[in-house]
Amino acid sequence: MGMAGNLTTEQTSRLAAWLTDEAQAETQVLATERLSGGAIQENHRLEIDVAGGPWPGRHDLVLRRDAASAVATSHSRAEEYALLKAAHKAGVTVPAPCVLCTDESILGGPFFIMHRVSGEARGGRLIKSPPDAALVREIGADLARIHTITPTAAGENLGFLGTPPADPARTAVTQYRAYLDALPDPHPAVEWGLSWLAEHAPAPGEIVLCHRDYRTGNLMIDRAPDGPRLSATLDWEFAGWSDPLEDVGWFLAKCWRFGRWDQEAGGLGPRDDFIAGYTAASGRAAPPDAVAYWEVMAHVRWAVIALQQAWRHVSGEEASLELALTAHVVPELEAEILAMTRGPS
Amino acid sequence: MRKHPSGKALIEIAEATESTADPNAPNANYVAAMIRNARAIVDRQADVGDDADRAEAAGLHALLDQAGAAEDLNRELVRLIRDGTAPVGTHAHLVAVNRAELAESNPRYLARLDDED
Repeated sequence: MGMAGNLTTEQTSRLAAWLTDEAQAETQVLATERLSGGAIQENHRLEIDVAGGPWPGRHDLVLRRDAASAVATSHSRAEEYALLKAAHKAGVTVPAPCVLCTDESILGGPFFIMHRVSGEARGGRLIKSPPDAALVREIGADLARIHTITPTAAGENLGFLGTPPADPARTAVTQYRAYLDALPDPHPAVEWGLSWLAEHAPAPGEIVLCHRDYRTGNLMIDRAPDGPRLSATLDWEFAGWSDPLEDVGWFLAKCWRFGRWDQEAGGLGPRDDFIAGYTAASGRAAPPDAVAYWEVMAHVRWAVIALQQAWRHVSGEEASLELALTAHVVPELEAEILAMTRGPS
Repeated sequence: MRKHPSGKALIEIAEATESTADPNAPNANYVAAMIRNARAIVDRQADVGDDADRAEAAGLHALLDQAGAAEDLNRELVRLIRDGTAPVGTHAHLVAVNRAELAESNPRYLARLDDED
C-alpha cells in the first residue's frame, strides 16, 4: 500500500473490503492522499485496482467526507451526492459520481466517491491567463444544463431542497433583512441595496436548480492542448431552487472577478460571450436589466454573508483573523451596491 | 460606521495569529499577508482618528434633522430606508460614508473606482 494520507491503515482496510462488496470483485486500495483545501469537507485522492466485475481495472478517484470541524449549515454528504448525480445526469460538467456510503462503521461518517478530475480552480491563478471567449461561452452553456433540473423533474431525489420559493427575489430580501436584524450594528448601505432589490424585484418566473455559488473559484479549468476547458463544477453545498438568473448574476458580479474587472465573466472573459453561451444552450433570455438586478443581489448577499462571518469572530464564537478581515471587504461590496442603485434620493 | 472588528480588536487578533503562525505551513504567505493587511487598516484608521466618525455623525444630523449618537441615527436611517421613507440625500450620504470607509479598508480599490469614472 502506498501513501497512508490521513486515512488510518484500519480505515483503508475497511474501505477496501467495502469497495470489494460494491464492485463485486476484489478491490485493492493502491494509494490515498489528503488533498489540500476544504475546511468543512475533506477530499482524499484514492487510487484503486478492481480485479474484475462490472468496473475492472485501475481507477483514479476522490473520496469526500465531512472534516472533523464540519458544521451543520451545508448539505450533508448524501445530499451533495444526490446533487452531483442529478447534475451528472443532466450533462453538467461534474466529476462522475461513483458510490455513496452511509455506513458510518467504515470511516466514522458518511462519504462518497467520484472520479478524479484535473484542472485549476484557484481564481487568483485563473485570471492570470489571457481572456478566453470560448471558455466563458462553454461555462455559460454548462450553467444552462444545471438549470434544466426542475423541481418536477428531480422529484423525490432532491426533496431535501424543500419547497421551491414562489418568489425567489422577495424571499431573499426577506431572509437577508432577517440576517441583518440578527446582527448588532446597523448597516444602512446594505439596507439601501435591499430596499432597491425589494422595489425592483422581477415578477416571479420559472424555478430551477441553482448552484448558488457559481463563480470563478468553484469551477475547475483544465489546460488542454487545444485551449482551456471547463473540467468540473465544484462545491454544491449552497445549491437550491431559485430564479435561474441568480446564478448568472452571481457569476458576472464584479466581486467575483478576482480584480480583473474588465473581463466581466468571472474575470475569465467577456460578458457577452458568457451570456451568448448561456442563452443559446438554455433557450432562455437573459435581459441586461434582469441580469443587472441579480448582480446587485449578488453583492448584497455576499455583504450579508461577510457581515455574518465577521460577527462569528467578534461575538467570540470563532476567533479568526480571516473572519475578522471579511468585515473589511464589505465596504467594497457597499461601493458596488451604491454605484448600481443610484436613485433619485 | 467602521465595521467591527476595528482598531485595537483587529490588532489583537492579528497579533494572536502572528504569535501562533507556523512559518513552514503551506498557507504561511497567505497568513502573513492577512496580518500585514490588518495592520495597514489599523494604521490608516489611526491616521484618520475620530474625523471619519465626526463627519458621519454630522452627515446624519443634517440628513435626519436630528441630534444623537451616530449608531442610534444609523438605526433610524435603516428603519426609514426599509420603510421606503429615506430622506432625499440618503444615497449621497451613504456614498460619502462608504468612501471614508474604503479609504481605510482598501484605498487601492477606491483609487481604481475613481479611475473608472
